[in-house]
Amino acid sequence: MNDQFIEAIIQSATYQRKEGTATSYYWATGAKLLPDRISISKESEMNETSHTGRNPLHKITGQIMGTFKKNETSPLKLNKPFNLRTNIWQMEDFPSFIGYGTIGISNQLGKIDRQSDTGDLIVLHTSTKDWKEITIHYFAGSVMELESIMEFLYKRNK
Amino acid sequence: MIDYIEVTKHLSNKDTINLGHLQYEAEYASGLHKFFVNGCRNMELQYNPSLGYIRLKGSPLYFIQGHNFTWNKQSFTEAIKYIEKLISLNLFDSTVDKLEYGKILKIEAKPQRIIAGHLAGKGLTMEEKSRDKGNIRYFNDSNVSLKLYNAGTNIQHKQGLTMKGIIQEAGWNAKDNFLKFEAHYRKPHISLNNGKGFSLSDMLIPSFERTLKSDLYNQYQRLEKMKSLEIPSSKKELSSGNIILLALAEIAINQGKDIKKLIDNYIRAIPEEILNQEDKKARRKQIKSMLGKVHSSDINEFDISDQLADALKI
Repeated sequence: MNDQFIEAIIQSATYQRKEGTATSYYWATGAKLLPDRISISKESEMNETSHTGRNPLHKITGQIMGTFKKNETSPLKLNKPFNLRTNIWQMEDFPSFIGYGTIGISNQLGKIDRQSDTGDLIVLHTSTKDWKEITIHYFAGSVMELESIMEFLYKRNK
Repeated sequence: MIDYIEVTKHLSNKDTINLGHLQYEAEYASGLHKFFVNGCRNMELQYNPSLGYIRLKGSPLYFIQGHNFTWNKQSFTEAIKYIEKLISLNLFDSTVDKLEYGKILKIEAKPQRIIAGHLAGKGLTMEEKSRDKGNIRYFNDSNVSLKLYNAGTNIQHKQGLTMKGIIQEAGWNAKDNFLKFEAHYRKPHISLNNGKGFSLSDMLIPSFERTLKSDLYNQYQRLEKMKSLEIPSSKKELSSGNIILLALAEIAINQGKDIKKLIDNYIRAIPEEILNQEDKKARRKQIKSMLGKVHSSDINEFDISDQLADALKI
């Protein structure tokens, strides 16, 4: 994947944390792929059982969870109860990013497991203290291109 | 290189297609839905739920790398695999409806000169558009559309600065001359596979690639190459009058006509009041001397068969 292709497929959105909450984020601008309200929790705020995941390579630094509401539309809203979840893993080579995740959505049985991973990659970035505002870059079907995408975003953010 | 493709996949009951990540474009009365797959250059995806098929159109190379100056199978398959992931559907078993295969050659002469030296051979019709300013010629029959064009102009006009930089790194130089010969197969199963349909994965196997190469060469042989004249080496011999005569002589040779006879007849038709016998004699003498300097070239500068064979490694 070259930079021009990554530039062509990137879809970004910003989410802002609701005042007075620790993990509740609302869509503010950009692409509407994830639910309007998502929960982004830091590693320290997660319970122990959430630390197991689909990727043993990198350190878990947080988690995203969300549920699509009745009036929301998204290519990810496929099976009831329309849940979405991913761990956020940090890449040591790119510490300026919060991390990346691979989107898992409810399967036909309503559960999220290894098979319900969409292969879509998200990369989280913030320039605000305490993750007050987070930019989520979305790359459909591109989880295998993690390294080149991280490098592209790193160079672009410089 | 395989450039433009059109492939159709007939969906089975087991197939569940995900169109959510595509850019929705339109719905037609026929029940066809049109989408774009976003990339460096978009590809088009048509979905007809009532007839149960999808059709993918476009150039995987332009889609994934933004240009077609260089080709490798890996980039091509990367593009298809990306779309497969996006729509959750295997595409390599799709049937190839149309395809374009071509080769770029670096040449010494100006591409316009070489293009102008190619005419339609037997069974082909030639088409040229004035807006292309001699940079492209099409040769058509019911199965193929052959295209001979200035690949450098294409890059100059169609690409932005960033992409020009990338193509430059891949070996393109604005000062060099690049010519592309391309075959657009309207019925590829007839031209390339003895009438039998073939899939996208069939198209990528080495033996099929050999078929594509040799057919491209054979298609090129269908074009008629004009005979060329030796261009005089001194400026003195290239007066405006001489250039007109050279151009006329070249056309006459290629049409099998005797230029001396043509000019003689023309002079004969001029009324006595304008040119008397002595004037006509003098003109004939002058033209005879000019024609004496016109020599047909030993090597046909228009025929790029050898370069094409080398580039195709056949």
